[in-house]
Amino acid sequence: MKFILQLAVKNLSRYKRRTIITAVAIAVGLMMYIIVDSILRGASLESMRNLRWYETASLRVYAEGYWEDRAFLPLENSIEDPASIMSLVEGEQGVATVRTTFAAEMILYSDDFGENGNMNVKVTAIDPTQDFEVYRFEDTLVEGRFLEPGEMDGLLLGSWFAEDIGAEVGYWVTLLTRGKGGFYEAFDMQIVGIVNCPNPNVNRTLIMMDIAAADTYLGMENSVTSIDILLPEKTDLELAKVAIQAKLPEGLEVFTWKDLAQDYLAIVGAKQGGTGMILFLVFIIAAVGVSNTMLMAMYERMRELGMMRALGMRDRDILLSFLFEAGGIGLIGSVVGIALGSLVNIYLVNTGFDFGFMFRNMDIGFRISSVMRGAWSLSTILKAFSAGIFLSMLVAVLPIRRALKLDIPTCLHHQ
Amino acid sequence: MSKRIIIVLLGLTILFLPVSLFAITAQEIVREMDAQATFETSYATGSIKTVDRFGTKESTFKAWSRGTTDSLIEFTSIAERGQKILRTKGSLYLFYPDAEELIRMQGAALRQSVLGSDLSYEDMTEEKTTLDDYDVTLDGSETVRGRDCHILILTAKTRQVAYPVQKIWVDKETFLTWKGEYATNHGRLLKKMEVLDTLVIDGRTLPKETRIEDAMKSNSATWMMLDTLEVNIPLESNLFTLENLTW
Amino acid sequence: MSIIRIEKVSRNYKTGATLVKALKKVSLTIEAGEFLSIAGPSGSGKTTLLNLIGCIDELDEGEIFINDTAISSMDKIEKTAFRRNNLGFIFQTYNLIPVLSAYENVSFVLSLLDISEREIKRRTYEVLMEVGLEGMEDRRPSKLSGGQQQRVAIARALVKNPQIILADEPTANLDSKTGAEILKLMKRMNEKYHTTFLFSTHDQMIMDYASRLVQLHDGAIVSDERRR
Repeated sequence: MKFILQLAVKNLSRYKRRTIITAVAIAVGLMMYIIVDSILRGASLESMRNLRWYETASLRVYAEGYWEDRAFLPLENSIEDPASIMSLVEGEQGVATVRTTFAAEMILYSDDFGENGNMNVKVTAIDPTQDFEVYRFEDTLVEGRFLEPGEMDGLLLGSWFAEDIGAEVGYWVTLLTRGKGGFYEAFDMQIVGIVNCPNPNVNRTLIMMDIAAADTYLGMENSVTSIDILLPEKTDLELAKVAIQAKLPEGLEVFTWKDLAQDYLAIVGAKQGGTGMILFLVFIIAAVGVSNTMLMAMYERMRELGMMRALGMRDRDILLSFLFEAGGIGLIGSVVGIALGSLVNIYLVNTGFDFGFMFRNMDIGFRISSVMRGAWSLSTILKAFSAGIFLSMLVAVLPIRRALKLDIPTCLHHQ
Repeated sequence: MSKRIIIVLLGLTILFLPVSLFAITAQEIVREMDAQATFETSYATGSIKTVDRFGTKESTFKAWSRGTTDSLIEFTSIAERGQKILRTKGSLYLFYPDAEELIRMQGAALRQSVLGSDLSYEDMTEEKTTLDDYDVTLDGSETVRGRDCHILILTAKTRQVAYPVQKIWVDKETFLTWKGEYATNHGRLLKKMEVLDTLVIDGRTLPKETRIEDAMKSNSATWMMLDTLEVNIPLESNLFTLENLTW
Repeated sequence: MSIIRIEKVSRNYKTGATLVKALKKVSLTIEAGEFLSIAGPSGSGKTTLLNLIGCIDELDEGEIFINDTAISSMDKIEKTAFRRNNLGFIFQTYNLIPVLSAYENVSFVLSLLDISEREIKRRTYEVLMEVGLEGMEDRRPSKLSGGQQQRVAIARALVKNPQIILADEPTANLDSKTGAEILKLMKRMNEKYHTTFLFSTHDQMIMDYASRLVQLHDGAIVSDERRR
């Protein structure tokens, strides 16, 4: 075995240029894999955080029937006695808050906005004393102030939404909506604060008001459309969902953030397919590059091959020697690729790229509004490392075995 | 007492009875108003024109009705040709011929606007049972378009109606509703309705041209116009069925 | 005592549509320790015969016995093992591994056998000294002359003390002076270790050195001459 390994290592230096080119090609491919994986991982981590902190929390309770009609934001399917549900939920080491979400038409006036206008919006009514236990809007205020409990005419807007409609603190709008039962209601609201939320999907559409005010206007009679629950980060949400569901009275359903963020998960799923593609491309590069290198080596060393077989070297040992050689090319490629990839990753993880200009007007599915950072993953690095070596060895097998099938005199007399 | 004195006394009593005992009540006005608008069967052709800040859109239609429960509207303008709305047995159905799609509208979906107009599906197909949903009071009289009208204030009994408060001007003679103002509980005006032209059929006066204005948004209004109207005509028995809808 | 018995051996090759009879029922007996030259013009079958004896080619007819073991009774793995343990080869083009030193080119043959590192080292240095390459153990083939390279090849063939060494045109790529030196070396090894040397050649010098000369023509033995 020692000789086989020795031979393989020495043969690597035999065709320096060819070896380097092939190794570099593998290195570049693996570097790309590490970088892309890092970016997607970082984006995924940040998105999940922004989803939990600003959009979905960990779990949500809805009344039965709400989920099927959720596009219409039906007030009729509401939770009747939220206070009792809250106490049940909080026993599971979570914090909970009530919210009522409803569809409305926001009417803008030329006095403030320069021209009259109207648009369909989604309004979220929150409990200002409790909402910050579950969501992290506390850290996001950029203008004005937060809502006060019981405030009948205060509105909080996401900064991108405010920017899009040209709203400023102090402006008045009218919300026209249908209350619980279907009756029309219209109420004037003043923008009291603007928040800059890192979750772009939220920042682009956020309108918040006080839940007591919403209760009055919409005739909710103390019912709410959802109870949002935050659980500790490492909690097994599926288990928690089952546990909470079991405690709830009939007529209520629990959903995890995954149920609520299906669009995000679809994107992530698609993007993970992307890294798989890159790895596949790396395989192709390895296959073509290494295979070609080994084929050429084979033809150039045909007589040598014949000699070794004539002198009694086992075919198996000859195969191993060539495989180690191929693996050696892969190893060089892997080491260089990982080194380069890691170097770039240091920058990605610590600084990242600011794609704010792109995210502002495009919904890419990830919940990131400006800087996209990378994330380290030991498993990716190990995968890349072993892939480079293993794939190189794998693609060398066929040409070597083919050569070994030739008879010895043919090898010996090869020109 | 002689028979003669009794007759004179009766006559005097009748003469001096408070006028209100003979005067029509708000409920009676509403009943009559609803009755005037309801036929055994009807067939109409007309158009809906919507004007808002995006521009003007006009659609034409044919409409059949039977009593207060069944109605079928088929759009005949190019953009919506073949689209139908059927109301029967308390349910609402939409049919899109291009996609061959039949949709049952329920719950919150009924609040969607018909072809972007100021009318919702709910509005278009509401049943004329005003007194079930509203308390009605009489609030004097006023002349509208030269016609003497009762002013009625309707206050919703439940939350399950779209307009909590309505003020309508009903013709004292024909019981046509010339004008309407629809508001929230707090008196915030939502929509205004006005009949601009009428037609007489089967002894009843009906709106020929109606204008509905969104009071919350400027420059947004819808006109409903009837070109033809036939009433109490024989209609095919399967007209208001799903099978007929998809045909 | 005969070490090799060749009995009515035939070997055919197909070149395109033509069947070439490289050997036609050849029979030969070789004694241990012989310094035998198989001569003949190109295409006479001498290399084919050598390949068959060396177990690197397949018989079509007949049988070859080496130490009373029939070659055709061995499968591929057994033949490989047989070559590893019993045969040495010397090639016209030396066939040294260019990335290995002289020492490594020789010692690798021993590393295929079950021998200790120490023993490998001892025997390799010994045989390199024997062939006159003392002090050149660390040189790669590119740093050795043709003659020196062939000495390495001879050392490689000898180092495992094989019973038989098969040499196919070993002097063809050498000048006459160097060729003569190589030949002398091989003769000395033959006399010292009693190793059977079989040459396939049309080099007159080898033919003159040989103790027995077998002439092939067109796949058949035309003469078999014992010299001394």
